[in-house]
Amino acid sequence: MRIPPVLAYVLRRIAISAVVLLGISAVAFSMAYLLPSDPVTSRYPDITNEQRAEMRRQMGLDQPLLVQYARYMQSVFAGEFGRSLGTGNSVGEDLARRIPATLELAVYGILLGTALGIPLGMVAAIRRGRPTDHLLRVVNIAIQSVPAFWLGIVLIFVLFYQLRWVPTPVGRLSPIHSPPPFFIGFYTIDGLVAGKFDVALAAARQLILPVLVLGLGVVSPLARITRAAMGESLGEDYVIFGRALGLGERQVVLGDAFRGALVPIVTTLGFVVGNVLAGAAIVETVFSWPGIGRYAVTAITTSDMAPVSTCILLVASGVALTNLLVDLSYALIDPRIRHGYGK
Amino acid sequence: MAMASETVANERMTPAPARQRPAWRAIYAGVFAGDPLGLAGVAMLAILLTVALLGPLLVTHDPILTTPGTLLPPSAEHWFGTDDFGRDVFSRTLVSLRIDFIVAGVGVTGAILIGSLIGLVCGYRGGWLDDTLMRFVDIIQSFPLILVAMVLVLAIGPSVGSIVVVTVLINIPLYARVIRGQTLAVKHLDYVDAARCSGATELGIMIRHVLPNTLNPIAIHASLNLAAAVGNVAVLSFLGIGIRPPTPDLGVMVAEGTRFLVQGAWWMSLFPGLVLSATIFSLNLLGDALESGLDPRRQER
Amino acid sequence: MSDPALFEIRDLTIESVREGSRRRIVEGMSLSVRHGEIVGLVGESGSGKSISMMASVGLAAASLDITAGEIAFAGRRFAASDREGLRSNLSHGVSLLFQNAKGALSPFLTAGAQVDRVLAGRMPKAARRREAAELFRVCGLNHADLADKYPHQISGGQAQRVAMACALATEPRLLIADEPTTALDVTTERELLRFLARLCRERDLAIVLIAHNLSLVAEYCSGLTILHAGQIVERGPLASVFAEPLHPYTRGLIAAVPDVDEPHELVPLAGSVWGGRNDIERCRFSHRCAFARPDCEAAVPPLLERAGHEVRCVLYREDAA
Repeated sequence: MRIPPVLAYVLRRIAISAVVLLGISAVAFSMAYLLPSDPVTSRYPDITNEQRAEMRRQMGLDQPLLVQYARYMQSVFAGEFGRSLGTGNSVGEDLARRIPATLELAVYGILLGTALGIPLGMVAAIRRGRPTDHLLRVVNIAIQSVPAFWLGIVLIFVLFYQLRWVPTPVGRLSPIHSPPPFFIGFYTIDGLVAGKFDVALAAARQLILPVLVLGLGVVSPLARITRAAMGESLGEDYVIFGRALGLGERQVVLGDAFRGALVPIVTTLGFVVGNVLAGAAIVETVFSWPGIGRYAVTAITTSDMAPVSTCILLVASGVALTNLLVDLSYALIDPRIRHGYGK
Repeated sequence: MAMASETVANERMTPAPARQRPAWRAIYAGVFAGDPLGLAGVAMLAILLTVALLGPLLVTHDPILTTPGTLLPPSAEHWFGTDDFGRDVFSRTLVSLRIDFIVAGVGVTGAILIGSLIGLVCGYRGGWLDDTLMRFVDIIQSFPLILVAMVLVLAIGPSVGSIVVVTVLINIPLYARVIRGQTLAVKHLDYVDAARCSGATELGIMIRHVLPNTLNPIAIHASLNLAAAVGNVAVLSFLGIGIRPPTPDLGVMVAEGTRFLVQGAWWMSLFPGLVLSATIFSLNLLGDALESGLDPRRQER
Repeated sequence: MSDPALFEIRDLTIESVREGSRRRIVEGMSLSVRHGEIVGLVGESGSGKSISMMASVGLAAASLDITAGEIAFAGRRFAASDREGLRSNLSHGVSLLFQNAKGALSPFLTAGAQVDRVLAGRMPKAARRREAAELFRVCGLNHADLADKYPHQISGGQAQRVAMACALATEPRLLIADEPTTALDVTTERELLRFLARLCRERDLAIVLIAHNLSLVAEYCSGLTILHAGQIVERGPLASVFAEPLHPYTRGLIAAVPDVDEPHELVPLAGSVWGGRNDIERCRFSHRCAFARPDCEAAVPPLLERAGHEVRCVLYREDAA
């Protein structure tokens, strides 16, 4: 059987990623191992030395690093990803509950950031060097400069404490609602699918602020790259020729110039996904969002090794997967790349 | 800070006969001409730096002295109000700014020094050393940096010193990559080959020709990176991992303030956050102006 | 014959602002084209020929300042600075061809789709495929072979013909061809020019042929305008200009062209277009001119009627004769 070249490429990339991720897991685990405070002592400060030694032995913490890593990896392949000392559950279980929360936040955040950033960059490119461009530049830099945690707090203070426009920031859903039955794990969509529109609406209202804060973090890099790439493609001969043929400005700018700028934009988008996954740690902490970011922060501050290394591994895998998708999308965007003419 | 200014001085004195090094005035004209925003960034940064440097002289109250006047709103006596321990928020903000500048500045300077060295050697030598180090850099860069920074700070033990060390560590890959690329681009230019043929040593070529060509990208990245570093230091302390109370720090102050929002004490979080944003904003403005001003493509237009 | 001009540029002046100083890159440029006529516009790179023609259809770079001039096409008049108005001509009878045809075609569409989208606003979907095939045929291309190919998969000559098919899809009466053959080899160049000349005859298509190579234009044009540093230095009917080139620049251009029938010594032109002082009103060729005299630097010489055409040179002033 002949394997189609695209599939072969994907398989090869996945194989390479798997090796890289294995390396990452080793580094991540060693880093978690470096965490200082003894997980037993920090949880049971008043126990005797003998009791502590016994507990450490039970948890396998007295074993050499390599042995502990081997046991962790065994657990990874079993889908357990180790055991969290904080929650008492397997990390896999904990994550299964938290991943949808983070994904819902991240997906809407990236959608919002993209919907703002790309048009802003396009307008700046079209108005290059004119007052609109300068204004957008300042706005962009300003957006980029406000720390997410502080922006979140200011928004909570103004829009919740003062104006009561948004509900209490207590996470995904206030306790008066019960989560909708699982469909894809996004409460907004699950609620709609189950016909529980009040739940979907309540979930959407909880999402407003964290999505806004997370999304604003995406705006700046996207607007920047769009302005630069569109600035270049707008000067390309094919754009001028398109105009010379009397094609509409929409067709020329959105069809040709934007498409010509899409490869660097998608590359940046891929890089932004990594930022969003890491940035979720902050936004989730500010908004008490029960996702993997807050889980990771708690695990790090309490020296909970297995969740720490698993979270780092998870984000790194997300980045690797995104990069693969980005590389594959090049071929869709540009027929020259599809036909191997390079770019 | 001493380390930072020393580095800059050394780089300035590096002789660079191969490249036309414009005088500072020309750099100023070339970079900021027709760019009031860049100038605004420089002015803002200068003010903030002055305030940070003179911090201890400008404070109106002892920044760590607790008083009975807790949670007082902004007034003529306490411009930014007081916190839950009755400490003056204005004075604490000034002192925090100083600490954050020093931590981020020293951290980024260290990353530039070490990262540039790695990048220069990798770009110049190539081969297995380059391959190995760059793969390693790839892996590091696919890590969620904030989480890694948190783990590292805790591993070293939370203190101002460990935040500096971690700032250095997580920023090394950036400079290693940039300088490596620049080195690769320069090392086979005709005039460098010419110098090689006329008997210049490899070390001499590195210092005379390759290094000066890396100054522009370093300047651009350093200002943007410094902005990010200031933000990251604040994030770490906000999450309770970096600088710890009672040492004043902008991130710590914002975090402490959040607990008193319910009581309406908005000033505890607002002012430190504003100063933090202004600092990052001015650095980003400067970086943006440098980026468009030093862009070689701009000269063609 | 008092055939009114189809297309006319009058007194076009374009300035560029660079590092704070303004420079007139086109000054008082005029050009007139009648129905079905091929007119040559010749000058070195940087002489302003492309810029003035792009400006005449509203496509000059936004950074350029069009300070004066008027453009008329098919009875409609526009201020040269009215980019929007001028661009409306592009879907009503004016079309362009570029030097770099491969770069001018959208890299994201197949050859067939490029022509199809130009036709899209003009006829129903069903008729478009047939019309596209017909345009391909007119341009000497096989629709079945090429319609599904992307620009990077075809040759430069084929790309220029696809671009031609796109241009013809707008049903132009005037075609501005900006060095359409520069990127092509000599054989393909001849073919394409002969094809353009045929279109001109069969479809009553007027063409402005921009070139830096005088010999190329000589074979196909009826009128000739020679541009140097943004100013017209000589213009008139081809025969007259070739029979008696007056301006030292025109003579230089002719001397730089090899002639198989009458071999002569090739003399390259010295100096560069914008090499002289640009801060004073002067003859803009004087810094390269073998006949330069003090009064060349005194003022911009006017265009004078001589030997059946016009020339801008102090050598031909009444009092100097």
